[in-house]
Amino acid sequence: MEHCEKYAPLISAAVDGELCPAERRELMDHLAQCPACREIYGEMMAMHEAFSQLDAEVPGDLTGDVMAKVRTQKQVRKPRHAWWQIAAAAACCALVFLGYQHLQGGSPADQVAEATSGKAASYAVPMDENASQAVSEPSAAASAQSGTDSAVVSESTEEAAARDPENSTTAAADQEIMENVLTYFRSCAPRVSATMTGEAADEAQEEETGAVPCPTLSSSAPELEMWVIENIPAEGYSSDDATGARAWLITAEEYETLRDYLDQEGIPYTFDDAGDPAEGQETREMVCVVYLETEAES
Amino acid sequence: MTERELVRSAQKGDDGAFEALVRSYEKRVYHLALRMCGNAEDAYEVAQEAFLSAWRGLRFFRGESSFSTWIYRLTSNAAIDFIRRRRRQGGGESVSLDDEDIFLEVADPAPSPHQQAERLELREAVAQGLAALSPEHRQVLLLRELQGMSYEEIAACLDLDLGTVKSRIARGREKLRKYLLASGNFSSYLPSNLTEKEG
Repeated sequence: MEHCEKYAPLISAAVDGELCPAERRELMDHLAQCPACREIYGEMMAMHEAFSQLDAEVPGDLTGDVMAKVRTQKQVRKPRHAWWQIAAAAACCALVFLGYQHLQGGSPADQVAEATSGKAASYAVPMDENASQAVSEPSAAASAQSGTDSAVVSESTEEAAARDPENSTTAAADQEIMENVLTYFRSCAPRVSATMTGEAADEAQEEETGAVPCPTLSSSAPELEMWVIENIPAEGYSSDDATGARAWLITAEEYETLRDYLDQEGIPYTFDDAGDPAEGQETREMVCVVYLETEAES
Repeated sequence: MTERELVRSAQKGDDGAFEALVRSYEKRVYHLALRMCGNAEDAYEVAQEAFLSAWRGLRFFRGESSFSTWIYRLTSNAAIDFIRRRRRQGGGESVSLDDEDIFLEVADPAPSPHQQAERLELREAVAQGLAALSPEHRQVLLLRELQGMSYEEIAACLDLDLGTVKSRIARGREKLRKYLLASGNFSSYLPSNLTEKEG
C-alpha cells in the first residue's frame, strides 16, 4: 500500500486536468490495477465537486464600506509642499542644527550620534513642532540621494552618523520620522506594541507584557513600498506629519525575503536591529519596515 | 469600460473606476476570504483589507499579471496574515457550525431528496475540513477550487514554483480527504462496491 503514496500527487493533478500525456498514461495504468487508488480518485473527484457547490452571499455593503475608507484616505493624504517651502525649510534646518550645536557644545558628529542612539525617546531637540517637520522633509530628500550614492546598507543609524558626519543630519531626521510613525502606531492598535522603543515601551509594559523594541528597516526607495504592498497583506500605518512616512509590521521570515530582494536589486536601506531581546523574552518575530516618502518620488 | 481600462483609470486616482472594480470582484474576494477564515465576520474584515491594499498598491500594479490574479493574492495573503494575528492573540480559528454562509443552497439539477441531503453534508464537511489545513495549504487549494486558477496561474500569483503548487495542492487534498474519511462523510457518496477498503 505504501508505494501508492507516490500516485497521490498524480491523482490530485488528474482531478485538475494538469497531467501531461505521459503522466496520465502512468496513472491510468496504475489505476487499472489498484482498487485503493481508484477509491482515492473517486473521493478526490467527490471533494472537487463539493467545492464547486460552495457559494457565499456578501453580507452587508462591502463595496460601500471599502469605498468609504478609500475616500477618507484620499482626503487625509496631505498635499506635497511647494518648492519655496522646501527651500525655506532647508534654511530653517541649517539654523536649527547650528542652534542645537551651540546649546549643547561639542562636535556635531558626537551630538548627533548621541541623539540618534537607540533611545528614541531621549532625542530631545529644542525645536518647535513646525521646525521639526521642516527638518524632516528636506532631510528625507537628502537621505534618499545620499542613500543612492553611498548605498548605506545594514547599518544602524548611530553607526551611519559616526561614520559619515555629513549625513548625520539625515540620520537624525530619519530617526525622528520613525518616531513619528511609531507614535502613530501606538495610537492605532494595541497589537503593535512590539514596535515601541524607549519611554513608550515602558508605558506599554504596564499594559501588555512582552512588548519589546522592534528591529527596523527603513528606506526611501519606492521599490520598498511597492514590494510591501505586493507581498505584505497587513495594512500599514501612515505618519501623521507631512513626511508621508509609512510603516508596517512584518514577520522575520518576510523580512528575510525583503532583505534579499533589496540586496539583489542594490536598493539602499538602513537596518537597526534594536539589540538583543531581553532575557526571558521570545526572540522577536516581527520587524518594523518604514518607508520614508520623499519629494523625489514621481 | 473594460477591466483593463478601469484599472488604468483607477491607477490615476479615479475612485469611481475603482468602485466598479470592487463591485465586480466583491463576491469572489469575499468567498475566498470566507473559506480561508472560516467565518463571515473575519472574512468581511479581510476582504476590506484586501481591497484597501489594492487601492494603495494600484500605482505599483504593472499589469503584467491579470488584475484578478493580483487581487486574489492580496486577499489570500490578507487572510493568512489575519489568521496568524489571531493565533498570536490566543484566539482559535472558528469554523462556526451555525454559519449560514457555509450551507448556502446552490441551484442543483433536481436531485432526489436523499441525494440532496447527502450532497449537502459533503459540502458542509468540505467547508469545515478546510480548517484542518494549514493556511498555506488552504490558500493554494482554494485558489484552485474556488477561483479555478491553473497551477501556472497560482504559481505566478503566489511567487511559488510549479512543483510546490502541485505538491501543496495534493497534500492539502490528501489531508482534507483523511478528515472527511474520519468524519464518515464519504461512505454515502460513493458506489458501495468501492467503499470496501483493501488490506
